[in-house]
Amino acid sequence: MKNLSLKIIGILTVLVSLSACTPVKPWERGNLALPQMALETDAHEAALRIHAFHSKEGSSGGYGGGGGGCGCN
Amino acid sequence: MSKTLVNRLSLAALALPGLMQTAQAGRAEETYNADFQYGHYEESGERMKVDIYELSAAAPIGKAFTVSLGLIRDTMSGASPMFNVRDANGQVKQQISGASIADQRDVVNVGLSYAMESVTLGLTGGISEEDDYLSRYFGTNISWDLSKSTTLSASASYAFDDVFPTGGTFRKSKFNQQYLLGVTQVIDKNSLLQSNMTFGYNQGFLSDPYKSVFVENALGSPILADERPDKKFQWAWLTRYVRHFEDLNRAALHADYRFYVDDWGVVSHMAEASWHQPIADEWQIIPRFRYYTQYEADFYSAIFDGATIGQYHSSDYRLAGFGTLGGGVKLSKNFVMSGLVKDIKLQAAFDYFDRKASYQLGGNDSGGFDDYSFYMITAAINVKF
Amino acid sequence: MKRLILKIAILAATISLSCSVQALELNSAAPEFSLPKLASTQRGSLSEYRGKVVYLDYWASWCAPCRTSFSLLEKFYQAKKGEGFTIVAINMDEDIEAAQRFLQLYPASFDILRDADAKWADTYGIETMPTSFIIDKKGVIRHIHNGFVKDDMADIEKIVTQLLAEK
Repeated sequence: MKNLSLKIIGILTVLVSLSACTPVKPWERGNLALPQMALETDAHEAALRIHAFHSKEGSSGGYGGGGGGCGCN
Repeated sequence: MSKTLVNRLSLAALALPGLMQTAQAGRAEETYNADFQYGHYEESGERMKVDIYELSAAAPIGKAFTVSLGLIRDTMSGASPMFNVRDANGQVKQQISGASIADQRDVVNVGLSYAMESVTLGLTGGISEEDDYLSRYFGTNISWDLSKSTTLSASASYAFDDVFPTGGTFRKSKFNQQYLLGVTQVIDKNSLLQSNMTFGYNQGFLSDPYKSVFVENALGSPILADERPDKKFQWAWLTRYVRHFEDLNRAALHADYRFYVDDWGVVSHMAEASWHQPIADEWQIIPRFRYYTQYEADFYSAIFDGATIGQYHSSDYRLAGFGTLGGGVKLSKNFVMSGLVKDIKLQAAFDYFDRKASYQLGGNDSGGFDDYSFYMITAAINVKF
Repeated sequence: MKRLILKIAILAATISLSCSVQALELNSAAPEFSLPKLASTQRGSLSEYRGKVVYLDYWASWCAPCRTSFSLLEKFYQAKKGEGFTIVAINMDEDIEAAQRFLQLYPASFDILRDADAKWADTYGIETMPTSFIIDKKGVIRHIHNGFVKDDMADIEKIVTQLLAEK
């Protein structure tokens, strides 16, 4: 078990270093710069949806920031 | 540090409580932004209806600062479940409040960010006010480009809330904290991944003052107030993946998964996916889908029994076991210009969701007494200059 | 066990180190590129501009600060071109049409070259988009700047004026 964990950690470390090694060159970032590739393509709508779901469900978090509470029923 | 707009939240997002995490440190576009958004949320069965109006603006200051401001007004009306009872056939049913609730929520929030070579710092704060609830909140966040492909983020948010229910005699408070740690990794020139963990801690009056529980075989009164612990610890882990499909007219796939657990016994999974398809001439159509499943809180029960009821008890349908399934579609159109106004974006979306006990992962035989559906419409205009 | 961890750590460190980009040094000679022009079949090379102060800009249509820079640079070019100043902008777009669409919105009368296979971008050690180099009359790099904001124009004007005064 310990051997396996260490192997996994080892592989992950090498992968992370490798990913730093085959970086995307600054001039190759055209596709990543497209608006549809943004992690949050519409921050205001996302905030509204997250607020709606959070008011009606028992979970929250993951998106960054607690923000203001509300007395939502 | 790259100042290019790579997967960065719009500047106006700084006006939103806490939604400032960016894929890369550094200031986004050096433009002035103004936005207006309208939203409508409506539940089935004459339950809740909300209209949301939001105005926001952001401006660059000097070489590295960005300031933002947001104003929101919600007007809400409709009925709300108070507790559950058994009907003549022994079936559980919800007891909905008779009178129609009408409430208005006003929010003001401000944000400031400072971009350096590979680190961006941000501060936000705001006030949210309702007839029966006041929230004052602030937060700070930091984004650090470890390399051209990896960005670390961390944030801390705090909210000081006061609860003073209409028709009630008290004013109680609660204090919420949330801490985020996240990493964003560019995988290759067509994909990236973000993973965040949040740790939350709430203290104070966490019960719902408008809800009660029904107790069968009660020793005293059969209706008791909703009573929850005065502390809650929560943990969430969200992972988001974005992938570009050059050949499909530069479409993008977004897929998110979030796991959540807290010490009230609630465990949930959320999966969301959306497909961003550019069609002719700066139009985009974005179908999306969301599945959410939740396991009930330890002290939740639809109806309680006098012999077994504990110190904490709640029949709030939001703490029950259920699943929500649904989705919708969004349409957006961009007008790119080169004068004083650089860009105008129009968007509209419609989503429909079904919340059902039977949609819970693994099934749930509690019956559909608290099932309902809801839809949301949003429409927005964003101007960059 | 410990040895395995040590080996992994050394391997990771070596990989990371060997992957760092070599940026160009200030006051070194600017590499003499020769690249095709965007709008014609001609080529442009750095040696053509010897004797002038050159603002060399690596840009792409998708880079947001480039939209800010182009209109400001065009104005500056018109003002100073008679004094022995020129701008050379090297486009890095994979798709030439994207560059052409950009230039319709932000027209430029200075030379636009194309480095589609990024050979010279690599040599110049480009780390962000845009990156600009101010090269003096003798072909020496005197200023390197990553990114672009409106307020950068004041600094650029100062440096260019100073370099134009040099013999």
